[in-house]
Amino acid sequence: MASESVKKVSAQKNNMARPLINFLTQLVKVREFALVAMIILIAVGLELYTGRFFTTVNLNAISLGFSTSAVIVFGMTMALVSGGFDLSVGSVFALGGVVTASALRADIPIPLAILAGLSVGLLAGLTNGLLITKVKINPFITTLGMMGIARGASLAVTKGTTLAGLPPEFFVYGQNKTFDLFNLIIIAFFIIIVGDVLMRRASAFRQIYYVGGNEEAARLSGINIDRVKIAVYTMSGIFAALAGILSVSRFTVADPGAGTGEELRIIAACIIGGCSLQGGRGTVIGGLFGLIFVGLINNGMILLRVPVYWQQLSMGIVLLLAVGFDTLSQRWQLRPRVRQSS
Amino acid sequence: MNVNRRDFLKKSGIAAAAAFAASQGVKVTRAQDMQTYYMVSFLSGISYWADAFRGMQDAAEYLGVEAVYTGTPEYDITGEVRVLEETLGLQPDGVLLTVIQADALQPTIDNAIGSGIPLVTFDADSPLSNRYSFLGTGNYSAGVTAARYIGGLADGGKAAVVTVPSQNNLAQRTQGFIDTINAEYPNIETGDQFIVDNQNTSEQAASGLSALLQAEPDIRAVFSSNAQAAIGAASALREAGLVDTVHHIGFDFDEGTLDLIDNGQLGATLAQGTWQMGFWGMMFTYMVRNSMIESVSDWMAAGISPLPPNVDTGVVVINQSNSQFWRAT
Amino acid sequence: MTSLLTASNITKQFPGTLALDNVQLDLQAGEIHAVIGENGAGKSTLMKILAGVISADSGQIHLNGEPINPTTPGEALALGIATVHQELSLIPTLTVAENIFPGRLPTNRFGMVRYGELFKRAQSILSKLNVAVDPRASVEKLSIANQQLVEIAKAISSDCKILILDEPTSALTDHEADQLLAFLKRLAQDGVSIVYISHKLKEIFMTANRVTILRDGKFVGTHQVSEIKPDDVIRMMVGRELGNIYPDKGKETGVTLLEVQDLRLPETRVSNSFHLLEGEILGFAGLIGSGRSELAHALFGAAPKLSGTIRLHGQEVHIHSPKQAIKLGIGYLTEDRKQAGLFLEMSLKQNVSATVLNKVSQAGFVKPERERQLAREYVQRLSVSTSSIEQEVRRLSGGNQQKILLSKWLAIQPRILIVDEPTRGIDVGAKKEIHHLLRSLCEKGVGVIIISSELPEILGMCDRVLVMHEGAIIAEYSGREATEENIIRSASNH
Repeated sequence: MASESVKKVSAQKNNMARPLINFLTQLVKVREFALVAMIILIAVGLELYTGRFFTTVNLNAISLGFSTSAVIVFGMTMALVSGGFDLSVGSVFALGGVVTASALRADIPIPLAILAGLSVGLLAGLTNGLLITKVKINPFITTLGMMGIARGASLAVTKGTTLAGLPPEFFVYGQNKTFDLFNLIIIAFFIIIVGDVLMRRASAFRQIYYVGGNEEAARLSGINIDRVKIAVYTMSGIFAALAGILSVSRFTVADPGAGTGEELRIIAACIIGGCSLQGGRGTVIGGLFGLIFVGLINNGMILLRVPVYWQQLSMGIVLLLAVGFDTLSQRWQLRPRVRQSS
Repeated sequence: MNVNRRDFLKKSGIAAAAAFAASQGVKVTRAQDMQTYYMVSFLSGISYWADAFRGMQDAAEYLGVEAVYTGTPEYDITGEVRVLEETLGLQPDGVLLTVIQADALQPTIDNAIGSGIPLVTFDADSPLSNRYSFLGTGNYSAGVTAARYIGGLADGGKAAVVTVPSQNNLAQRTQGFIDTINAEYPNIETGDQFIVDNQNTSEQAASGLSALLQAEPDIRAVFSSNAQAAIGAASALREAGLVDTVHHIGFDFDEGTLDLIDNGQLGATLAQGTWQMGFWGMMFTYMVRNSMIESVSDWMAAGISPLPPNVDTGVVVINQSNSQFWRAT
Repeated sequence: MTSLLTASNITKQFPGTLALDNVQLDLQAGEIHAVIGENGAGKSTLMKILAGVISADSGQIHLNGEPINPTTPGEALALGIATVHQELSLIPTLTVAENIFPGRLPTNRFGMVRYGELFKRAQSILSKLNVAVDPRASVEKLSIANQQLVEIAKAISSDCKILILDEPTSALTDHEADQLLAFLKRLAQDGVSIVYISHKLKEIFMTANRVTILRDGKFVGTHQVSEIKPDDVIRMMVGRELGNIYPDKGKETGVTLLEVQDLRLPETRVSNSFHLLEGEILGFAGLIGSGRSELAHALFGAAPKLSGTIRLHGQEVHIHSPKQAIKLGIGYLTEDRKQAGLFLEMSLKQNVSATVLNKVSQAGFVKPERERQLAREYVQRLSVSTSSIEQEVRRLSGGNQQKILLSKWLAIQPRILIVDEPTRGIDVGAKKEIHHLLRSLCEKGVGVIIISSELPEILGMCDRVLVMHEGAIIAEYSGREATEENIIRSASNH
């Protein structure tokens, strides 16, 4: 982020190291910096300790591990930035997969089957958005309700079993590689990058930040709050369904129980990546870093042979340490200045 | 509880399940003297019970009695107690019950036994109640079966287990597997340090096993103790290019696991004897109801159960050679 | 009578403003002492210092001749100084009784609250106050007036020697206010000293023994109420050099820009009509709560209207949302800078562009250079002092924040700009700049509506002044006719 020096900075200092120091200071100020630094540290540490971290297979495995979640992260980031959240993503994830699988089993062509799954996600998200804005039920209850409805619907569609017997051409997205890279990983990164650019640059997406930053101010600035929120939850639903469809493509079966607990994992990743539960703050790429961070810790615990019975405990401790450290360093950076000279 | 997926099913009410249950529970007008036996379940919509009820129906047809399926569509403890009480109110000739929660159902079970209704539990038990018999999968011995399957194929290397350590039935399967490998196949190394926690999801199974395969390159065998684990572990092996190197056996079967077996991505899986539970549960209650068993002169007065208290309905290994027999039954 | 409390040489500096400059206050036992002054004169700051909410930079406070220095409200309370602040501090979900005795709930030996005792004690205080409120009722169900009374009950429940009230009657009806004032008199007779901040001269002359006048953070004088007249007080309150803080008045074009006819808001019985000329600055004066902001909200489409027509250049327009208003070239600068105006955690740049995202975008994408250019333009034009346009707005001083808020509205290139308390809480320098800027807009034909509780601002800026009272426009003065005296008289319907 470039520094826009509006006020003349004292120009007397012609210290050569100044630009470098400035650059580093700016870099440290970037919200994701601490997280990326921790990720690099952990990765290097694991490589030094085990010698098996930077292998193609391991990196692939880690990336595949967070790919479907990464697709959901885009939607969740929008929901969090708008000042809400979406607890229904785990269930919509399952529902999207189940609907697409059912369609495929009914010999509906693959693109249409995928469209069917996405439509259900859209419907779930749209319903969330309408309930939150028009009926004014808070996002927690609304999406919690949708969590139950979508899960119930997946069970209803499947009568509780997994759906298999899908056409092998459908597995292209989740299993095949392009230029030695899994398609799933390519799709996930594509969505994250596009999502991040949209959130940073697109004027329509900028409105989400205004709404989450100060709803009343946004309203008075001529932003249609309801429309923004409806769009946010609708997109969250679509991306959750898309992730579910990709997951079916990877695992070859649609499981109505898939994605249980996914909502909390995603919210945690986004918060670790810099989203604020108060809204108005957060980036898509930050959410991805959050996912990578959590994935790395999981991976690292197994590589370091932490006994299985201790893994959840260790995970919790590491997470709190990381977030605590990050929060403290943010507070330190954002200390209010004692006096603003004018 | 032998069905892992129930863990997530707990959380939601199932609309269609109710419809399914209703369609199963519609009572056919019965002949005046025809005996009626009930199967009572929870989460009554899930297809896992369909196989058990099929077994019960087969036996009922053979015996010339009527079998009725009922239950509560949700994971609802009081709901199942209520359905059981309503069923007992119909004066059934026998009841096959799968128990959502052992203690909660015990008083109602004991009432039924006290009023002379033959009742057996299947799949999930209430061991302290007076039920005549429990028919279910012996989880430890299922683990033993998995170990012997692996032991017969792998000659050396290490064996991993993908499971949920916090879930009792899965822990028993894991223990049976590890004990047997250690005792009978000393050239294969396994133990607690080779356990991956899949938290009942395919995603965690895949990520966890992938990491373990990195940490332990000598893994040559994997036992997945639940269906999600099997699907996730199969993906992990495929993605690591190890399908042909590592022997993999799963647990439970559905179309997905059968497909994986047929296309070579999963070596085998273990089928529980759910049909057996229904068939023999029906047989047991019929025999008690119609006084066909005389183990001692008057077992009722003596307070001695005429039936075996625990029946292990066993597991069967499904692999490519026999998978077609489990399809579309 | 002897002095109970004296404060002398109190000075308090806030970033950008000298809130109190060598101020003194002398409070005698058993008196009702009114403190009066314009907004920004430093009354509330002085009260907050006495109440231990903030501490003075310098100066001394003596209680019964002993120096005291309360640094927390709890310490002040322990010294017998209780305060009723302007903002209500009740916990809405709890009962009246629990609110009256927070932290002092009667308990049994197991630490459980003795509710019977609690309600009895609360009832006795409420009866003393002559307040018909059930101590068992939860506070959120009470009217604002009753909440105010509960707040007072809470303050006197601590058996205080000194009671400070910051505009206690602003939310009350006349009848309720009379009751409260009668109670205060009784309380004073019982020996409690009362410091009473109010804008309402009538009340002061009815109730208070003495009055202290503050102006621009400075002490003007303390007088026996019986020895002076209201007009003297007004003169002492406002008597300052307006200097060139206000620009020269402009020349109107005579072209009607906006015409509002019979505009009626929900839950009101009155409807209002007024017009605005091109290049004119129209002032809305009145007390806080007289309905000026509500009228502006309705005009701007931010609040519903019951009936009425709005014409822009003679053409009827229908405004149902701020978005439509903005499209028509109407801007509204809110009085509540932090809650409803700024995106505090976002950058200065993003605040400026909030109303004009489409103007800085191309094909749906915000052009970073255009957005920066826009921000730079206004930062320069309004001389906002900041290190960077990427700076978070919450780090700016109040004056600079207000300039950013104004930039957001200038960016839409408004035809009509409504500014609600445009210079509240900002320093004199920034005030002056904003005033000159508003006038320069008018010179380009923009019609400006200023809602302000600061009379000098109204007088210094406006070409025409409308005075509102209880939701209705009750007086209109041309710029020449308008004086502080007649506006104050109209505003309080005197």
